[in-house]
Amino acid sequence: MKRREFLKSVATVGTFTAIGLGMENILPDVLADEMIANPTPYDHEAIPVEMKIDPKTGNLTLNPDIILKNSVCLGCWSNCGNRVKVNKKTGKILRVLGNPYHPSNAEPHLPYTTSLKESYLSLGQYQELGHTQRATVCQRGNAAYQMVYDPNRILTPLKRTGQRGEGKWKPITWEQAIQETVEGGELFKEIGENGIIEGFRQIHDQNTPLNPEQPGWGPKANQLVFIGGRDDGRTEFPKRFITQCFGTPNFFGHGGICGASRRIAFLAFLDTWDKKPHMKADYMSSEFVMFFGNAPGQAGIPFQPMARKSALAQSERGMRAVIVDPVLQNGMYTSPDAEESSWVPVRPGADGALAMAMIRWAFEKKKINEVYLSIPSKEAATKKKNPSWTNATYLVIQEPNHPDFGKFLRAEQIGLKMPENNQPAANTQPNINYVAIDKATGNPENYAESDEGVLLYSGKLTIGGQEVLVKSSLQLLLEEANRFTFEQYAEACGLSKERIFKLAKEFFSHGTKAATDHHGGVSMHTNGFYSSMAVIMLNALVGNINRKGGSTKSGGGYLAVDKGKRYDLLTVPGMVKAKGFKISREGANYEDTPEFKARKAKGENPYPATLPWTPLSDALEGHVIPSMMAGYPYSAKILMLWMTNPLYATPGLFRKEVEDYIKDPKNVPLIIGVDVMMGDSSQYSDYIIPDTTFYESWGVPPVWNLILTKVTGARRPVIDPLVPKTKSGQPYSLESYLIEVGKRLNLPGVGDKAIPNAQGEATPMNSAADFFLKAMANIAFDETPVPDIEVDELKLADLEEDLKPYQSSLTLEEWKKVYYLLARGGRFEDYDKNYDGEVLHNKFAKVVNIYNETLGTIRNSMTGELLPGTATWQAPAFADGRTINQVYPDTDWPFQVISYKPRYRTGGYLSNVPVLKDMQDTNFIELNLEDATKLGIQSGDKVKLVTPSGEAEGTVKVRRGVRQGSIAVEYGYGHWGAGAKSYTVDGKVISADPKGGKGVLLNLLALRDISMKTAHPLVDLIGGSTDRNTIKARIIKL
Amino acid sequence: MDNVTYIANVEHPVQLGVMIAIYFFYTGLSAGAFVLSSLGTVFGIKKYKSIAKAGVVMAVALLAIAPLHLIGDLEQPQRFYTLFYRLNPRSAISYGTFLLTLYPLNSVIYLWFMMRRDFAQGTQTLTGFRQKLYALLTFGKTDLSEQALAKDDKWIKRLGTLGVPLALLVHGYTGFILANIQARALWHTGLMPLIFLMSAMVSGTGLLILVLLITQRFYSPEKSLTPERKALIFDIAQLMKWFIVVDGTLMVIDFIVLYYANAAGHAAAQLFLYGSHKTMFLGVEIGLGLLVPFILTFLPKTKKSLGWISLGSLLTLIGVIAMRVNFVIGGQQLPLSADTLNPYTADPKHLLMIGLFALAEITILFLAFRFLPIYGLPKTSAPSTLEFNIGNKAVVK
Amino acid sequence: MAEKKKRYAMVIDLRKCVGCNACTVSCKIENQVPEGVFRTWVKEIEKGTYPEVTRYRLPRLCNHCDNAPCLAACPVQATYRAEDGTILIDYDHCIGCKYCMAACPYDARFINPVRKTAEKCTFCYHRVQEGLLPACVTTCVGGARVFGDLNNPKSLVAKLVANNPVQVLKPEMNTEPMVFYIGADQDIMGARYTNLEKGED
Ligand SMILES: Nc1nc2c(c(=O)[nH]1)N[C@H]1C(S)=C(S)[C@@H](COP(=O)(O)OP(=O)(O)OC[C@H]3O[C@@H](n4cnc5c(=O)[nH]c(N)nc54)[C@H](O)[C@@H]3O)O[C@H]1N2
Ligand SMILES: Nc1nc2c(c(=O)[nH]1)N[C@H]1C(S)=C(S)[C@@H](COP(=O)(O)OP(=O)(O)OC[C@H]3O[C@@H](n4cnc5c(=O)[nH]c(N)nc54)[C@H](O)[C@@H]3O)O[C@H]1N2
Ligand code: SF4
Ligand code: SF4
Ligand code: SF4
Ligand code: SF4
Ligand code: SF4
Ligand SMILES: [Mo]
Repeated sequence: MKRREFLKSVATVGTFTAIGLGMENILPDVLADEMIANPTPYDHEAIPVEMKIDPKTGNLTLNPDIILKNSVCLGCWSNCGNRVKVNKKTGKILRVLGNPYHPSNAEPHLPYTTSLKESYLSLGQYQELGHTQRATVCQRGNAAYQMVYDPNRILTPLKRTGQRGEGKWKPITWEQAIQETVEGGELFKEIGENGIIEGFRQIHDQNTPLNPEQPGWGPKANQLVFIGGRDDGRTEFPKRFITQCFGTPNFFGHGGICGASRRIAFLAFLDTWDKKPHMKADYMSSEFVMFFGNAPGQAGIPFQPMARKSALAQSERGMRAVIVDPVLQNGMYTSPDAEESSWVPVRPGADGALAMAMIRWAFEKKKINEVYLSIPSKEAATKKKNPSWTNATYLVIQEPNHPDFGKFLRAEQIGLKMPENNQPAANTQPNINYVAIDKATGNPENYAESDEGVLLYSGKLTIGGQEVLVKSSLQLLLEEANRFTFEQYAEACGLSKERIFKLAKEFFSHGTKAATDHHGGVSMHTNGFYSSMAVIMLNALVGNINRKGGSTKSGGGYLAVDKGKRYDLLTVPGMVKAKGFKISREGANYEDTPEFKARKAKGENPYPATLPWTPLSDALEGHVIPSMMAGYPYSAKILMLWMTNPLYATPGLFRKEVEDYIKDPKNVPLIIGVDVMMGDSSQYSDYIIPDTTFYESWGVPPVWNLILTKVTGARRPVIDPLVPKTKSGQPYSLESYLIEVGKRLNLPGVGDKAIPNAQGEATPMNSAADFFLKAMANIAFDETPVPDIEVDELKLADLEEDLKPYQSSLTLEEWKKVYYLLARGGRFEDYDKNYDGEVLHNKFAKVVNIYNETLGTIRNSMTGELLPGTATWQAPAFADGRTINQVYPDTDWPFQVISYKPRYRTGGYLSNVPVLKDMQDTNFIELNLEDATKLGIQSGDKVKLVTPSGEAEGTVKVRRGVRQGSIAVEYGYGHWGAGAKSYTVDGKVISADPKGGKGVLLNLLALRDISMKTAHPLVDLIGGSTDRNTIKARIIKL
Repeated sequence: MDNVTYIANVEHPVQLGVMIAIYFFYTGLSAGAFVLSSLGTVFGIKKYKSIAKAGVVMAVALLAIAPLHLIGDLEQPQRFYTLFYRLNPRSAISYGTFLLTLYPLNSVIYLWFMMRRDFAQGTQTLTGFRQKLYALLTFGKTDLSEQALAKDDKWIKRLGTLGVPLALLVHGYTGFILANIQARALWHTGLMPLIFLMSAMVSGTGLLILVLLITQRFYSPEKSLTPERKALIFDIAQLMKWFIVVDGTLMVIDFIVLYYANAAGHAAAQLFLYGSHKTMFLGVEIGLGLLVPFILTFLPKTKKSLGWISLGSLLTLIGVIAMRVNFVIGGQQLPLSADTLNPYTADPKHLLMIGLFALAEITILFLAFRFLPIYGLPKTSAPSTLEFNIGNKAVVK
Repeated sequence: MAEKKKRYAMVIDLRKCVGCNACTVSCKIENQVPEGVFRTWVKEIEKGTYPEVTRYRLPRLCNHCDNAPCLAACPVQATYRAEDGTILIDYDHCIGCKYCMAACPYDARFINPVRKTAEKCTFCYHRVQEGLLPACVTTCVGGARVFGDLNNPKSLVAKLVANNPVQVLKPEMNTEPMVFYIGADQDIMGARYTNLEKGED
């Protein structure tokens, strides 16, 4: 080549041809080569290729030194699949690719029965399969593996040798860690902290009430509090251990600081409180999607499929995306010659106003889908070939101070004759006889008797001889919508009436192919629940539920940690039922608590509760520490942290007094952190237990909703864990730790008789592998079991080799199928199962709730008032009802700060990944251009951001795409642990990365609820979210 | 009004920095000096004869150091020699490599022929160190016969004639390197080589004047600035004036063209005329570097004052350094894909090298003027005749 | 007759680019690109007057120009063109003179601070040679990046170029770039001179 190239170039310059040729000929070849030769292949540094794929024939020549393993990513909570490229010789991860079988990685994803070899073709040029079967991981999914090799990674158990948080540690043996944390004692005598600390054994007490005066709160065992991050496919293990084996209700996910209010709003909308369905839009077939505070490509769960599907839908399917967001995020494509932007810069916290205004408009302009909404029952829906139905026509008792106020009217209450066959199709609906006004007869009828109900009804009916006001669900929604004028709504959400009408008009002009999608932006406010309801309700009003291009509850997953075909992972033989109340004040009505009863008994007004209760919500990580500090409902004795960083991640929590509280062993006698790094929170632990990262651990992660087909991922150790192994050969990890603790206390559910198989015989659970492989067996055998694995695939994926140590976990019959599953990284329903014609294949099979009875009949624990049972607009407010703006008026606090997810981090995590730091190692205080100009501020200027709770200095980035009057601060920076602070182990300094702590963490400035007696973040009283986006602020140029 | 804000991009620092600028400065000086020296020997302008040697010595000495800057700027200096055989016929620099070798070679031989006679005579008339040195430098060619000397002169003529285009090329090509880089608006103009040449002449004369002043005063056999020497210096200063005029004119044209060229060109012009570079450009390069020297060489009073003239000459040097820096670095600061100037921070390592090379340069010049018969042999017997004779020889042809 | 010589090219369909930078990160990992330098990156601008603001993205990399100034500039032929058109750098012969960087109109090149030679995107030559796709293409979340042989009319790139209005960067430079864009906004494709002074120090 070079020769020709040389001659060619030579030729171009006549005069030098001679010399050129001359040299070519005269000189010996070596020299001639040295003169113009260029080596091929030329690149030394690039990592070795995994294989060669013949572009003509598609023949594969594998690189024997490299192996690809399908597993599941946890670079963020999205749990996409991945295909990990491992160097066999070094056993190290070289790179991470996407898993083409997994719907989160590819659009479309490969048919499940595609052979592994064929799946490799998605890497190559052969027949363009590299494009048509492209399987990707995102920026974080590409990089996250580097955290495994963090030089500061914690690999041995640590015990503090200084005060909590002082950063002095010593390594201890695994056995010592177990011994001391289980048995307790004078654990810190040697550093002068006398006083006996209770370990698991002492706390594990199901009989002694933790509060003798009010035994109702529960036993001492409840004072073990476990905070564990995410639904990462591993969570089920500690959850089972903590709640069923140990028996404390206090196991927490991070929902409350994540997006809880949205989830809870969906539970109300779908009236399904046990499982946790929620809906997303089916972008790929939709014509118009409004993304409320959930920009695809910016963040979102699941991040990748959201980004990809919306991109494809917009570029290839003519879907139009509108981003309702104070910040102009990525995720929508606007053609350079489009005349208007699809960005709707809503005022933070006012999505409810926008959505309710659109609802009011739809009512006034008669744009709601009446055909759909007037269908009262499944049967009627089936007749009308509609994939869904609602309770819009059901009558609700609205007679003031009627004992049943807020309840649905029951047919029997007005003496309607019961239909004989009122056994509704397989428990799709509770056996209740709701009443609707039948369109045909105009009379109240048992909903099951009517094919079409009257949508808007308000009138009196006689119940037990008394005239009682009843209204239809939709009537209640209409009245909520009409509570405010368009002017008021416009004022509230900071958009012009015209813009709102325009949006409403477009939304209601695509039939059932328009939908809303939303997440943190809407839900992380005190009004998050009702705003979410409003945004969700728009879908019911266009009638897009279960429809192609509408709202989907998603495919869901296969039975895994469940009562499956092979193993029953729900029942723990001899399990203990946790008693009492959760420390987070969730999942129970205040009216049922000992406090309420006591105060009632004393005859005093039981309201407001000492601290608010959140009956409908769960996983309120953000409430836990405030409860502990208030000692209400009670305090904790052992706090366990795993995969979580509550002090960093909870808005409005961490301040000096919180740090002081955590630091003092008198408050929380024992803190155990299970962590891979010295996290911002885990650094306050007494003991740190090392853990396996997600490339080294097991899991059966579901995918967050969006995927139309069924998905259950299978995560396995793709490398030999860097952590040492216990005497029994298990890697140091959360699971190994809990199992050994359990055995020591001989708790049920661990050891040789732990997991019942299908025949009901108890089988062993001595390792994480035991547990998760059994879950995988359930997945493999669910519905029609997956095929057995072929020999060559076994080799290709190195499965036998990798899984030798775990052979005893399953039967041979099970292995064959579990191997098949592991080879593909999970179990995935085929892409062609997306739709049945114009409706979704996987449907939500129950009534859709315009009005939710449960919601409409519970009371606000602070005011004692009943809650609205349907969507409504409420301004962000404190628990005592004062709005944020009343307390912090714009005149003093002209700006409202919001935060959004970091592009190169995931929450607080991945801050120790070098390549991501290289992409961006700090965040900015992002200001609108006009606002900045008014203040005389330019990009790069240093400013002080002042909020009612604190202040921080940061660097300004001036943007056009930030709402006027708003400030945006990217989350994920401003660490004070997690590599930002050095500490010592045995006197040896583990030094911090100077860049580690750069940037501003908004959570330190987020609002607290000043109306509460004790330190407490501002929270949504219904959805339980901690508010992170209503932060009032002013800005000072430095 | 601008309606675009950048929110993400990657920074692209300036690559060719001060080392290259200074390298251009050296080659410029060298070329300038050589051309002046050739006025006597090649173009037969009698009065310039006496400075011919000085000019060539300078040209050689400067070009001995110049390439060090190039090599020093390489990321892989130890691979510089590959430039000689890994040729790329499409790369100006490839040619440069050879120009940079041929030109000083030619100049050295050229210089030798000019001095052979002195060496020869020196070997006889002188004693001690010089005698030995000169004996060595004759390389055995001690023939002082008429025809031998005539032969010398022929060679002097020949080599000089070859040397002039070489000198022009050596420096022209540096301008050409920049000119044919289309990517950089400031560089991409046909005028670039000319501009470089003219500023080369300006600085070349500037330095020559200074060198003559010092060396003739201290290292010439007479150790004094004889009236005719003074006169000559003033003449050269007048030459310099004209070079300045041409250089200035070229600049003006160049910037008019730039200003009305494409967006990039316009931006470049803006940057230099109003923007952050105006001080360095208008102030130092044009003001101090061209305007003031022009005035000094123009005003009747100053143009006949050694003091003012030497000040003017010094300023031209400063101005031309500024010019090299402005064009080389400024040219790359204009963004290709960004919305802000590409950052440039001089590498301390480079600054150090530049200092050391400068020292080396001065030492070489000192040694050369101290020990070589640049102004003829030290006074032993009838120096003036000697001088005179050379004069004669040259005229008689 | 013998089939046509390969001519690799990339098409970036900006309607699909979500700005995630998975490409950037995967490139750094695949090619072990040192800290602080990038073979590819995603430029982003915001355009318009509030609230009519839109955001545009532009993934950038070496254009592997058909008429490559860098190739002409390199005095030692360390920069060379492979048969398939890819412009490569021979790290063993690069002297680090940086003229190619001055010559490249696209800021595509940089000095590798570790290896001390010029470096840039290689179209993942080492992967493409083996019939694989470049790292950035394989991991493109939005599916915006498409790579292939422009001389093969059946290839996806060829089809995209044929069936869409495509743009290249700085066509006036006549470099004939082999990276084509679909749906790019003019204001992001070049430099911007309106607030230059901001950056200088
Ligand atoms: N890159 C990246 N992706 C992630 C994560 C990450 O850390 N980084 N984390 C994952 C996790 S855990 C989750 S829960 C999801 C969360 O996914 P999202 O909820 O979509 O992400 P957020 O950034 O929390 O909030 C979304 C948007 O809400 C906007 N916003 C703020 N206040 C308001 C408001 O009052 N109204 C409206 N309409 N918008 C508002 C913000 O500007 C932001 O763009 O993302 C997941 N994906
Ligand atoms: N201001 C603001 N606050 C926010 C958000 C926001 O957008 N803005 N987002 C919120 C959301 S959506 C969420 S989900 C939360 C996220 O907040 P958290 O749920 O607390 O998650 P991270 O902050 O990522 O912290 C996870 C911790 O787990 C540890 N860890 C990482 N990998 C492993 C492992 O393999 N094993 C073990 N044992 N530990 C590990 C790390 O130390 C890390 O600190 O933050 C919330 N807080
Ligand atoms: S979206 Fe989250 S889970 Fe999916 S690849 Fe990216 S980091 Fe991994
Ligand atoms: S990976 Fe693809 S979608 Fe993501 S930024 Fe790069 S080009 Fe755009
Ligand atoms: S983009 Fe620049 S580096 Fe790449 S080929 Fe073109 S000129 Fe050369
Ligand atoms: S830096 Fe290397 S590649 Fe670039 S021109 Fe110089 S030698 Fe060639
Ligand atoms: S083709 Fe390869 S080298 Fe070029 S940008 Fe993509 S990943 Fe980087
Ligand atoms: Mo989250």
